[in-house]
Amino acid sequence: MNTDNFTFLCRSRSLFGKNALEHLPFELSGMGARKVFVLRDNASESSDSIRHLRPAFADSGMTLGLCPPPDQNSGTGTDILKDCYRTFTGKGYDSIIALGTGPITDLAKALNLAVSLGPEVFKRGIQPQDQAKSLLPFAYLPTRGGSGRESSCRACCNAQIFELPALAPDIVLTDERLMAADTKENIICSAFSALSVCCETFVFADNPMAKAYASAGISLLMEHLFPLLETENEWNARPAAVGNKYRRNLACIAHASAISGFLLANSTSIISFHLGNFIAENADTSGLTAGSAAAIFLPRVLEQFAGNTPALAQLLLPLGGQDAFSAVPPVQQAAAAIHILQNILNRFYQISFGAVPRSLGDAGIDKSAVARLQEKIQQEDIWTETGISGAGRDKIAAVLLRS
Amino acid sequence: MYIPDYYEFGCPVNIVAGHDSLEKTADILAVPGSSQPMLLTDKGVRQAGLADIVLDAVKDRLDIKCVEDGVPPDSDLKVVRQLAQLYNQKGCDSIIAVGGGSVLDTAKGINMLVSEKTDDLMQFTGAGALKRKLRPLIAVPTTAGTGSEVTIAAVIADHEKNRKMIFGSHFLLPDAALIDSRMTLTLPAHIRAATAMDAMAHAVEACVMLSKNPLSDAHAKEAIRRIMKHLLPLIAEPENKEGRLSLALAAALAGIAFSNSLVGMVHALGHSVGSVCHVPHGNCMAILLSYGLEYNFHKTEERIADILFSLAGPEIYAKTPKSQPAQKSIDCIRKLNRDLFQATKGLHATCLKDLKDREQHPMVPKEKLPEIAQTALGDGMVFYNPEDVDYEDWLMVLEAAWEGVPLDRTKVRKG
Repeated sequence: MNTDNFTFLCRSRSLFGKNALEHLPFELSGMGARKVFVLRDNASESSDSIRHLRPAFADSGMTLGLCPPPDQNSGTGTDILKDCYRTFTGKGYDSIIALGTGPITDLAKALNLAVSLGPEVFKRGIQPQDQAKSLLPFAYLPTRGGSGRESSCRACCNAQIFELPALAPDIVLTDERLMAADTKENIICSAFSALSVCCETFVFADNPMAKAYASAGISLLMEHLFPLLETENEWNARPAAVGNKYRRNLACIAHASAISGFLLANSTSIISFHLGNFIAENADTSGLTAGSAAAIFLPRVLEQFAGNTPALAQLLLPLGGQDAFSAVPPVQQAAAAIHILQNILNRFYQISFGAVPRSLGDAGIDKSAVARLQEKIQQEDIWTETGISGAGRDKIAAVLLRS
Repeated sequence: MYIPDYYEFGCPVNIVAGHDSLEKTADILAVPGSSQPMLLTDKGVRQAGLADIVLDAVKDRLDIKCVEDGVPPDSDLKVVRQLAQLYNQKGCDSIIAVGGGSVLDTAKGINMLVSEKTDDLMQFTGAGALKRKLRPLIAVPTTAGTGSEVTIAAVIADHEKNRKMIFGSHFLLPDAALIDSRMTLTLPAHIRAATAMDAMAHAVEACVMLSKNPLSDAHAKEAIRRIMKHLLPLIAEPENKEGRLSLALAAALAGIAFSNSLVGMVHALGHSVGSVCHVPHGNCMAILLSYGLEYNFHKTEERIADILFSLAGPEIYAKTPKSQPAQKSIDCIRKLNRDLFQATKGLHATCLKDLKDREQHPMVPKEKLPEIAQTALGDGMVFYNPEDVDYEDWLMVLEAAWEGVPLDRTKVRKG
């Protein structure tokens, strides 16, 4: 074990499963909430989630204020935030629910910053004295898998990044009734992102609390991703909707994604996750999502940075389960873990008729493009926030080539 | 993986762990603007020099308003009230609690009184009684067992009524748990054994009881694995700081697990043996754990089997026939107790009749068993036990645990 100190903080309370929604009023009222401002996105509209939300609060004595999904064409992000701020403060709301994933949770976090610390926070930024301040109660209710960042302590508002422990949701509530139909590409993107974060944390974090969360996240994904995507052979009819029948599986993936957000809040150096986002933003290909790219990089990152270590061998346990782990000789366990990760990619390549890439080559990124990306990694200071050193960048460049 | 229809999980305590994590104390208290804490401990911890290590770690950075070592092993409502008055008189703005379960629970009790500006603790029993954040509280565990540093519960005795009062609220959670390997260096071998078995009972019951879930399982299994790996070697070699830190982390992991999945009859019975015969909680847990598993065997065999991997490791797990892993898990726990008995030169008792006080008098006379069984009927933890338990059942389990013989499972009623 590493002799350095480690810290772990997960402020969020997870509520998962059937009728989880009915527990929300009790949880929020326990934090002093009486009048709840609900922000939702278009996915929440398609899942008809409001139909479930209203009755859950019916006898709670609490008031729900339902904000319509923001119309991205009606103004800038700042305009939308200002509108929300005026409504929130004008009508005396005291807590926030974000119903949806991605931008709607960023909006909810930005609103919480504005109403709790004052709108000037967007000009002055987060200050040391803000670390101790409490924000208003905030619950995140996913309707899809999400990116994982929803449950982290980070918010992106008009290209500004804010990080504060109190920005993490107080409650992450995953109720299968809220799950919206989604495309298989989106589901895979969420699941692969979460898998990358959980696997890297499990192998590299010398932190048993983080490992425990990571282990649960990996197991959830391994049990629920394949049933969701293998049972319907409709890949060609994209975007294929995965509907009611598989809401439990979708909820488990959303749950694992939220767990990955808790882990992101405790680590800055999840290489495959950051590399996946970097490639999705910088590579000249439209078909490669950040999650798929992260999953391509994951086995190579583990090989490059963990080698044949006991930590990598242990990864076989959450990936394969106790029976599989016990059956494999210790010297083969690290390779078996990598094999499982590679096989996931291979299997999805097959069932998606090539839509899910196994490599950067499958995604249409040729060697010259890889060389340009390697150069960009070396030249730009994009890895500062991940804490990866110059030597680490060389290894990342090698990962890129091998992927 | 077992996923219940519905579950909740959370532990918003900032966990700071390492071989010098105490040096972070001032920084952590500075976040909420506190600098004048009360340092709360007990006489044993102070005599062992542990409070001095904390004081040394914060010197020149905090204005410690008082160091109070008057927490008894079995703290009660009266003590909590007296210490809360002291906190107010000295102008403290936070608490650093250094000790085992009693000190940490007492600190939680004091924090309720001073934050809510009252001297009536009883108004905070029951769900939802606390409505807002309390004053800053830092927990520094010294026993690697109770997990109080990460649990929402505080157990405080009401000696007038011969009852243990259980307070539960998310607001009772400490702001931070500082897990430092220096804090368990001087722990006597038999106390190290008993407190670690307390953590083992938390972890095992978390894996077996009705509210288990994927996140509590992951925490609990890691705790079990660490206890099995480090406990016996540490009895022989307490200087091993990596082992001490790992065991202290196991206690925290187990605490997180059971706070989120709850515990059952082992704890219900343990509370009763503790309150009637004043047996330390860890000793009760060590003895009763295997009996609780045997009693619930017919309802939880698969779950008991599932922990064999963590208890015994992959090799034994792989070699155990599919019909035997649950019994093997129970055997592992009994063997661990026997090994601890040997390693502590007989100070770690394996049955109730062998428990002795400092004067070598039996702590649990056989004639006390009916009273213990009667007391257990009123313990709330039994609500979460997979199988129903009545007075006759309690007595049957107690008699087996007293003798140190396996429970005759054919006599367990199957409801």
